Amino acid sequence: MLKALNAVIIIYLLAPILVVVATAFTTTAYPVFPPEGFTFRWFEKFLASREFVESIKVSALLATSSTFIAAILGTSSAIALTRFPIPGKALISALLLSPILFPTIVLGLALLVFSTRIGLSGTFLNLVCAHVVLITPFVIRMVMVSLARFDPAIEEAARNLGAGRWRTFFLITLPLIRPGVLAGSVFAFILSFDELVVTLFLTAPGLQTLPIRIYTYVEYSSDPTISAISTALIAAWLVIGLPVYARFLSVRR
Amino acid sequence: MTWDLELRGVTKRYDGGGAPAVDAIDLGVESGEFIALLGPSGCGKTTTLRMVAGFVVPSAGRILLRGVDITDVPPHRRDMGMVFQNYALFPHMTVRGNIEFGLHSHKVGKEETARRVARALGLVGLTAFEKRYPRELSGGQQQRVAVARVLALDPKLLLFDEPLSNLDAKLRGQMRHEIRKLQKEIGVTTLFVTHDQDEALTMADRVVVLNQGRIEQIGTPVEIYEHPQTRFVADFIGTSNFLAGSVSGGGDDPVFTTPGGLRVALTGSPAREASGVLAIRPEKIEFVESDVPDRIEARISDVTRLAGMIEYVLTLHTGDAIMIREQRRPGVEERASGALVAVRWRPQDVRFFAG
Repeated sequence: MLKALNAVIIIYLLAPILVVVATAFTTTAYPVFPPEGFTFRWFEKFLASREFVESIKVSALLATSSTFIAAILGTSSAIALTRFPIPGKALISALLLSPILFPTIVLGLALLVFSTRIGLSGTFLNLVCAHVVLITPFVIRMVMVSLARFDPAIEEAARNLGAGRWRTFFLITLPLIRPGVLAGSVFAFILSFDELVVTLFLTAPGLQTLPIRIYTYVEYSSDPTISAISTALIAAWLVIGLPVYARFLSVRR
Repeated sequence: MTWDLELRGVTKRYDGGGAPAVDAIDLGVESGEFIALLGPSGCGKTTTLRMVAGFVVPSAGRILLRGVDITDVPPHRRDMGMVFQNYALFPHMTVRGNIEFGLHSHKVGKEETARRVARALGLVGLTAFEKRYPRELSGGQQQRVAVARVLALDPKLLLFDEPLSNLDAKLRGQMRHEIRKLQKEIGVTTLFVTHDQDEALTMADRVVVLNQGRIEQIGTPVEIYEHPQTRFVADFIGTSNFLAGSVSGGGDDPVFTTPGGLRVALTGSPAREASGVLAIRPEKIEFVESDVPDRIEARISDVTRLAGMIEYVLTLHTGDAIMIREQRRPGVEERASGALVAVRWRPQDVRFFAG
């Protein structure tokens, strides 16, 4: 009974993905399900499009740099919030996690106003800064979970055995909270790569991310190129992301 | 004399006021000595240990190691080896990695490191386990790794924070002997925190009994047990009967009297005309025949059978109640509840505490 329910839920969750993948191979000029015939034409069209390929580069560079910065900022904030007697800690924690709850459209507008004021608008750096604001809370969350399970005596033992603060951090603390840092970073990367609303406010010519390119594309066209791109992204996740995920985040220790 | 480790007026007050966790402790430890810090939870024993290790900064007082003031030295420069309650092994390193960590931190050369790891593993009998991870070891083995890890560094001082409390009773007894034997072999000065009086009394050269951040008594296990200096020590260590009453008579023959009229001769010279309690340990009281002088008549009101001994609660003819224990051995019959008996104790085995 429970097994059957389980199967139904899984099918319900995965069905949209299967539909998207299937429609990527249809020979019709618009996505249909079930697909008619079989062709790689939409993949060819996608890869031949300079704009799409260019936007993937922009998105990858943006997600990578934002994630890198968010990982460092998020990890240090999580440690500070867990370990140190900071006044107003609960309030700070709540505020740091507020972008998760905040309507992104409001955040996008606010960031646009702010970046125009400080003269950063229209630059790649501006997008990185905005994405860091959006994704760092996820890193903080995940690292805090790791730290909560961490016995502080282990760090004290390292100090006692003659290791200074930095040596203790890099050889003991960081390896032990690595699952949290990696999980947070994976989420942060996906979030940044996929981000549309805030980016839409801050984008500029030459700064077209993949979600924006897709968004503008579907405004004028409805051929299965979009399905092909989605399928390629799913494939990329299965080939690159999932093994990393399984390797570092599966049940260890 | 110069102490190996010396605490001078060491105090720890936490923010938010209240009584200090540790209140002006003075303690001198001789070289090679095994000192147990004993007390109930919250007595300040762990805070004291953590101040010696450098993890807690004292609010006042100085800590000296071999005559050098180390109060402001960070923990990683104190050359002390600490064994933690949960062992605090590095879960992502093998047994060998755990032991090498400290040697690498101290920039010990490659050959010397290998030699010291081998020696430390040999000392605790874990040579065959060097490639295991902590999670692949039993509690006792993890404990040994924690000990080996600090011994490899030839520390000036060994610190133990309730290291045996997570082991089962049998293993605990075994580890007591092992740690004690190892400590004697190496001759390293040791501070051992415990709330377990058996542990303190069997392992330590001297026991420091702490209560509410203050030292109640410092002494050898025998002194602590046989000659408790405060009511707290008499109560906390072992079991004591306490009888409330007052001392009168003064002079050379002070006599303690309970409200029920029980009169007990005291040795020594307690304050005259003081009220307080009389403490006597159950095993210091013996049953005697009904014609022995100085006997006290009593009736057995309760019998409890324990392993190896029987515990009786007696109601004395004065109405005072005391507890007495008798070993089970050949020729000793179990006494029945309600029976009339006579008991006696030696004057030097009772202590009077005023207040």
